[in-house]
Amino acid sequence: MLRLTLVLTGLFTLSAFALADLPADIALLRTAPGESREDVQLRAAWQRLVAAGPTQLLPILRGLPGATPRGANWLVTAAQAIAAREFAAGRTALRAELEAYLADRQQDGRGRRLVYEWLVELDPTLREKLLPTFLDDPSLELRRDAVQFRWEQIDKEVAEAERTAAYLALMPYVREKEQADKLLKLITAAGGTYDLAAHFGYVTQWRVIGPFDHTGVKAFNVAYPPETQVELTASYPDKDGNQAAWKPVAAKGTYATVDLNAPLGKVKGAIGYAVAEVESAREQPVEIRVGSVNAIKIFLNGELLLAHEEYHHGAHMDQYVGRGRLKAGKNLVLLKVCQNEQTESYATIWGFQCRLCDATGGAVPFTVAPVGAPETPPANER
Amino acid sequence: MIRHFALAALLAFIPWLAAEPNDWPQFRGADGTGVIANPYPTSWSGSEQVAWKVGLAGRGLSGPVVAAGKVFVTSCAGRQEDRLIVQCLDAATGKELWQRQLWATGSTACHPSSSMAAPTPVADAERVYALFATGDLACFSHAGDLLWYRALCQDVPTITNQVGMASSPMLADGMLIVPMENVGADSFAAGIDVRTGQTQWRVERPREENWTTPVVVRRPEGWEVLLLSGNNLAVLDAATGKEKWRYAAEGLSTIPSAIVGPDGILVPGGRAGELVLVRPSGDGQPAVAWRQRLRTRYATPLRLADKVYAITAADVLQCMNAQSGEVVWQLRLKNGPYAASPLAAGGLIYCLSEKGLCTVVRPGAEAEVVASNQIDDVFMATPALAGGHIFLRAERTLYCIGGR
Repeated sequence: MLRLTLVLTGLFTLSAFALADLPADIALLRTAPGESREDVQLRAAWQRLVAAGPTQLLPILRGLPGATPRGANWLVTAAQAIAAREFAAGRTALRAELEAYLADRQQDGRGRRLVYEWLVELDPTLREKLLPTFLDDPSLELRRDAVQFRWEQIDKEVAEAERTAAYLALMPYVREKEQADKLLKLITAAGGTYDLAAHFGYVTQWRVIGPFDHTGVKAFNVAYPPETQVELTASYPDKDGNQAAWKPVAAKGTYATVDLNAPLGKVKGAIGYAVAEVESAREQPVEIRVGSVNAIKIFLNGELLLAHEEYHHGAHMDQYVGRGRLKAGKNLVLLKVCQNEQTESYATIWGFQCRLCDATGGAVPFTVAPVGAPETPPANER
Repeated sequence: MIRHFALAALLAFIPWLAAEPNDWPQFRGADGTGVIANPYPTSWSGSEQVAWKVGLAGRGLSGPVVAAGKVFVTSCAGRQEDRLIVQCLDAATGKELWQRQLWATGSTACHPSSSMAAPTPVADAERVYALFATGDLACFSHAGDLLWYRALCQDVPTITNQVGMASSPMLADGMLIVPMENVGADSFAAGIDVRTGQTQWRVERPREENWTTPVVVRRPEGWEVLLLSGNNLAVLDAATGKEKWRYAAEGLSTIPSAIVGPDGILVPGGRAGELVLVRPSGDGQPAVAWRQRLRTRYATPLRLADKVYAITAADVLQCMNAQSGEVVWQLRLKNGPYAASPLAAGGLIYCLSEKGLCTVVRPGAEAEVVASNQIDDVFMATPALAGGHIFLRAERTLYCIGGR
C-alpha cells in the first residue's frame, strides 16, 4: 500500500511538473515588480522551478539579462538552490552547459561570475584555464581576477627588466581603481609614466560659475540660469548680489579633482555649476560618473540624468552614475554641485571628479574643448 | 500613572527573563535585553573551548542569530560588496546547511569600517529575515526557500546614507520592524508582515543618519516599538504603527539603542553625552527621572537587576544605579575599542572588544574580572548566546565557544 502511495505521489508530482508552465514561471520571476501582492505567485513559481531541478538551471540563468532588480534575485536564488542540490549529490552533468554559459558574454555578468565559482569549486584546475580568457570581459569581477592572475604571472615569469613594459601592457585591461593605483606605483617606481586620468576618461577642463544661494539647503531643486541654458558669455547675480561669470578651471591630480573653493570662494550654503564641452566623433552610449561629497545633479545636453542630495558622507570613484548618449559633435556635460552649511572642518570640501566611460568603466573616446588658462586667483586666495 | 507604567513594565519584564533561552533570534537576544539567566562559558582562547569555527562566505558586521538548532549569519562579497549572502549553519557542528546570495539593488556606498552586512538578521521557528544596508530584505525558510523578498531602495529610491545603513530589524508578534531612517527625502520605519513581506504600516522619521536598532516590548495591552533618533524617542503600537507618546530632545543617540527596564526607558545620549531615564508622567507626557553624564560610542547599554552597565567612548565599563543614575563603579577595559554591545549570562557581564578580547566581569559592589579571553581576530558584532554556546562573529569567521 505504501509503495502504491509513493508511486501515485510520484506520478502526480511528475504530471504536475509536466503541466507546469516553467517558461512562464521564469517570465513571472524575471519581471517581478516592486512591492506588490504577487509574492504568493512568485513564491509558487520559485518552488516549481527549484523542484523541476537541473533542466531549469540554464533557462533560469539565461533569464537574468533584462530582469528587474527584484526579479533577478528571485531567479538567482532559484538557480543557487538547484545547483547546490545537484552538486551536493555529486551530479555534474550540467558542467559542459555551464561552461558554455560562462563563455557567453551576452549573459548576465553576475550570473556568469556565480557559475565561474561553481565550476572552479567542481574542478579547481579550471581557474588557470579560464582566467586568461576574462582579461577583457564585460563582467568586472571576472576581469578583475583575470588582471590579478596575469599580474601574478608577470611577477613570476617576466624578467625584472621587462616587467614595466608588461605592466604597461596590462594596464589597458584594468577597470579597478585599486589595481590601477598599485600598477601605477610599480610603473612610476621604475621610471615609467601612465596617465590614469586619461585611462579612466576623466574630464580635466571645465568652466565653473557661482556661488548661487543654497542657504538652508533649500535650492537643490531650484534651477538657476545655467541649469536652463548654458551661455558661456553670460553673467548672473550670485548669492551675494555680485555678477558671477564662467571661469576656466583645470582639474588637478591623478583623478582630475576640481576644487570649487578656489574659483568660487570658500562659501557655505552655495551652489556651483561646472560645464565641459565634450566632442564625440560619433553617437555613443555614455556613463557620466561623478565622485563628490556634495549633493549632485548630472545633466547631459540639458537632460537631467541623475540627482542625489546627500552631503559629506564620503566621496569615491563612480559614486554617482548618469546614463545617457553622446551625440556626434559637441555635447554639454553640466554638473550642479551643492554645498551645505555644516561647520565641521571636513565639510569645507566642495568639488568633484567626473569621467565619461562605457558600462565596463572603460573610457569612451572623446575630447574636451580647451577652456584657456585659469584666472589668477585674487590675492586673498593665494 | 507612574505606578501603572512601572507595574505594567514589571509584568511584561518578568516572564521575559524566565523564558528558556535556547534561541538567540535577533539583536541582543529573544527579548532584546541582552540578558539571559543561564551560565555560559567564561574561559576560552583561539584554540581552547572552541567547539568549531568556520570561515564565512564574505565579510560582515552583523550578529549571528540562532533558532531551532541553526545559526544564520549574513555577509557580503564582491568588488563593491554587492553580493549579499545568507548562510545557514548547523549550530552543533558549524556545517553549512545552505547558502543563498542576493545581488544588491541599492547603493553599496559606506564607510570602510562598515559593511552591507551590518544589520543583524532575525529568525523565528520557521523563517529567517535578512536585511542588508542596501535595503534588500529577504525572507527564507529554514530550508533555504525564498519566501518573499523586498528591494526597499527600489520601492523608495530616495533612501540614502552613504556612511552605511546598519540598524537591525526586530520582531514583534508577527511584525518585522524595519528601520530605514536615512538622509534622503523619505526617512521612515515600517512594520512588515512576516508571512507576506507586505508593509502594514509606515511612519515618517527624522531625515538623518541613524544606526539605532528599534526596541520591542511586550506589554499586557500589546507589543510596543521604541524608535530612537537624534531628536526623539517615539513609542509606537507595533501592530498599527500608531504613536503612543514620544520624548523629544536634542542630542539623543543615533548609534547605541535605547533599553527598557521596569522603571522606564533608558535613552543613551549622542553628542550631548547623557544617559537619560524617561517614563510617562501623570499627564501622559514623558518625564526625565534622572540624567547621568555618559558618552557612548557604539555599544548599547545593558540593564541587569537594579543596575545599568554601559561601555563609554573611553572603553570604560560604567556601572550605574538604575533608580538614580548614580555611578557605582568604573572598570577600564583593555584592548579596545568596543563595537559589540555588552551581554549578561548567569549574572556575569561579557564585553567583547573589536580586537578580540572578551572581558568577563562579575558585578557587585565592585567589578571583579572573572576572565580575559583573547581571540586574535576583528569583532564588531554583538555575540549570540544560545544552547550553552557563545557564537562570536568576526569579520570573516564564526566561532562557537563552549564544549561539544
